[in-house]
Amino acid sequence: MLRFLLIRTAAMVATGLVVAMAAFIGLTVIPGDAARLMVGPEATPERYEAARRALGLDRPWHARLADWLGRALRGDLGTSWRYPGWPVAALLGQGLQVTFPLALLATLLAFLLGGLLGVASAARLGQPQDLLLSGLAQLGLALPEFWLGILFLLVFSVRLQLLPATGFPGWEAERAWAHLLLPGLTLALPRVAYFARLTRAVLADLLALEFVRTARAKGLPEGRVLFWHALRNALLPLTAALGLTFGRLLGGALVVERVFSLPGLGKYALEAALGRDLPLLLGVAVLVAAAVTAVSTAAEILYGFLDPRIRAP
Amino acid sequence: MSRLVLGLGLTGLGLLLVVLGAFWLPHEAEALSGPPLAPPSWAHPFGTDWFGRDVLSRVMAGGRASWAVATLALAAGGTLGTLLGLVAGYFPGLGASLLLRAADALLAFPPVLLALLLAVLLGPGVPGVAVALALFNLPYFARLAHAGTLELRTREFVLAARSLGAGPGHILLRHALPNLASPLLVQATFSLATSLLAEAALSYLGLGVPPPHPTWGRMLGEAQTHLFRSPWPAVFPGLVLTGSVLGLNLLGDFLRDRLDPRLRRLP
Repeated sequence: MLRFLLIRTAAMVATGLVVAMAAFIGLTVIPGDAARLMVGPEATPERYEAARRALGLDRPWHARLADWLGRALRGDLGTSWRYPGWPVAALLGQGLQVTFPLALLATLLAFLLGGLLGVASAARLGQPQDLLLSGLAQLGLALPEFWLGILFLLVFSVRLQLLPATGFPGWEAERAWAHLLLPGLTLALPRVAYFARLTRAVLADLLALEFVRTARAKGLPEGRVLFWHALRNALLPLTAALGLTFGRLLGGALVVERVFSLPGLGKYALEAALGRDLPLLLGVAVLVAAAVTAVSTAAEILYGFLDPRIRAP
Repeated sequence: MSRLVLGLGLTGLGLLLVVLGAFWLPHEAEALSGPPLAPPSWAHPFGTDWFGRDVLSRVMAGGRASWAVATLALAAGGTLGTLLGLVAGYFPGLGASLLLRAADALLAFPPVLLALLLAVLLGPGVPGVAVALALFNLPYFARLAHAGTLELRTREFVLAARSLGAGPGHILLRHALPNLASPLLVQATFSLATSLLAEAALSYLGLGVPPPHPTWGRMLGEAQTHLFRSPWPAVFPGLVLTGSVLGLNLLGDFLRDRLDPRLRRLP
């Protein structure tokens, strides 16, 4: 077990480092002139030279890479260009204050709702209820997230005026969570469909196995067979999917954050990309890639922990 | 069977609007043709937008860009990914697994974030978006082709071809690729659907095809600004987009069940 843990963790660190280096090289070395980007095309040669020196561009790229990586590992991701004086790490922290709870809310909603619907479907394989749920899941997967968000805004904020439309007042404000409700629901729905399909598929496979037949033959009530015997075995792939969904949402909530004007990670990513704020964009990219790698490693370790066949070399 | 009909119908309807829009539009897409924010009527079946432009005409004209970018990205990413997977599967080893690892690393970035990174490199226009979507599609095809080739390379007909003196290029393109055509076609159908969705999301964010040419994503973005005055412009572009994507997904499901009898179909 320890060996498995060490190998997985080492692989995670290696992947994280490679992705970080690739992002650094891709964003700052290949496009060439970051200094020109920073000062603009009309700057005087003196200002341009000063910017070049300030960015350290007079040094070779591998020295800059090593330097940046060393500081990034100590939590120093540099200073934003767009928000002068703001450390990138502090901006990312601010963004996470919104994006983290939002992703968590959406993932849990999707997991619980989707799981329930999936179990309901699997209990009635091939019957009208199952076909209806499958159809709804198809629809859920085809809906563009941002359009769903706009439709929710239209119904809940414009027509019914139940929930605040857009923006986020900060966690100190009263009813701050209400601002995350609609975006959370928007992000959750397509993933509800995903979890429902996954649960249904996994359960349908399990229900065809001998141990389920045995449990039924023993005369156990169908509910107990479904929830106690079958679902327990389905939890492993579902938990792994839960982790992956959460990790991907940290960087993938961008469009919905934009629909609801939330000041999350996505807002900073978008501003950084359109305003060409390289340190900030690099910070977002590294944070998101690290989160996705960490979560998928955690899922693999969980798999290995619960299923000895996987950790065998 | 019903999935085939429904899928073809939905996607066909969306595509018909787009193809028809290349030759004929009810009104000019960028011209003011009615009162602003008018609800649906006979003259404007989808209503008009904030400027008084006909929404149906703009949906028809805007779909062209969305479909073109998505198809282009699919063709590029699918071809490159398939070739990569074929070669890596036929010549297993360190180099191959490194290549595949690199392709997998692309999946660590959500597609929209990947597009943002490329927008910085290539500018916020069509090339950046197309390259991002191609890179997003690539790993799926690489994995499929790799797994398939790995399995095929030890099969008798491949060994027979090799003993007759066929080179790797001939074996991969003439023997491996045709045998992998069905799973790749299924993946292409699903990938086209996700590419359409991703293109719409990106143009909603203001990346991709620049204004004044309409795109489905940006039309929805503009409609959101005036949501409190009229809901109609926010409804129809989304409906057409969702219908096309839903149709493609249904078609993909149908093709998967039809082309691959080994995959047991859930009842």
